[in-house]
Amino acid sequence: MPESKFIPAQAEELATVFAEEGVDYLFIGKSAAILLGYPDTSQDVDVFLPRSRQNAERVLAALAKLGFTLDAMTTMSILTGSEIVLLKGGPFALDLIHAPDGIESFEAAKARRILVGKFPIASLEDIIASKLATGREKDSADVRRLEQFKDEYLRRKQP
Amino acid sequence: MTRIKYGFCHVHKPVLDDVACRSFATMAEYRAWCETNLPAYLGYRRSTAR
Repeated sequence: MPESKFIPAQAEELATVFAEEGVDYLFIGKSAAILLGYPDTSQDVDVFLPRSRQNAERVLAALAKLGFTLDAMTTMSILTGSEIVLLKGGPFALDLIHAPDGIESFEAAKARRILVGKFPIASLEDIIASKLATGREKDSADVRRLEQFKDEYLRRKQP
Repeated sequence: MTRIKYGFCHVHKPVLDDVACRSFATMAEYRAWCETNLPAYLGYRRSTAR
């Protein structure tokens, strides 16, 4: 398997190509928080996608442009809306998520999103809610600091 | 972009990164797979799963 390494320029490339292909999506997870200025590291990018055949076809076109090679089973999983698809063998690690824990729907999360340049980012409330809902050890460790970061982020955004 | 210049780094995660693609029909299946297959130190197990 080729070495996978995510660098920030690839987040920009992902956003550019997703926009070119008309993909509806949100950055979510810790990498999304980092895009908002959260000082931490992450090893992959998580994107939240709506369940839509048309959007899935656009995702596939975008992934091909980005250099991801998918097998038939993975392609079908994306088209049929599997709740999570982990892509670890492409130019960088990318998780496609259709149903993150703790968030009621893509449409609701999109209505609360934050736009930073070309990055559509899930709200910090949704990022935290999804981490809280997993109950995982690594997410529990993140939540307290993310809550503190959210307070600071909101304070800075006040006029 | 400057603030995230060093925000992402990659270290190979055993088992999780050993296969190029994995799909799970439901998040419940994914969580169960993580708890059964991933080393505890990766932190993917639920806090109450010990």
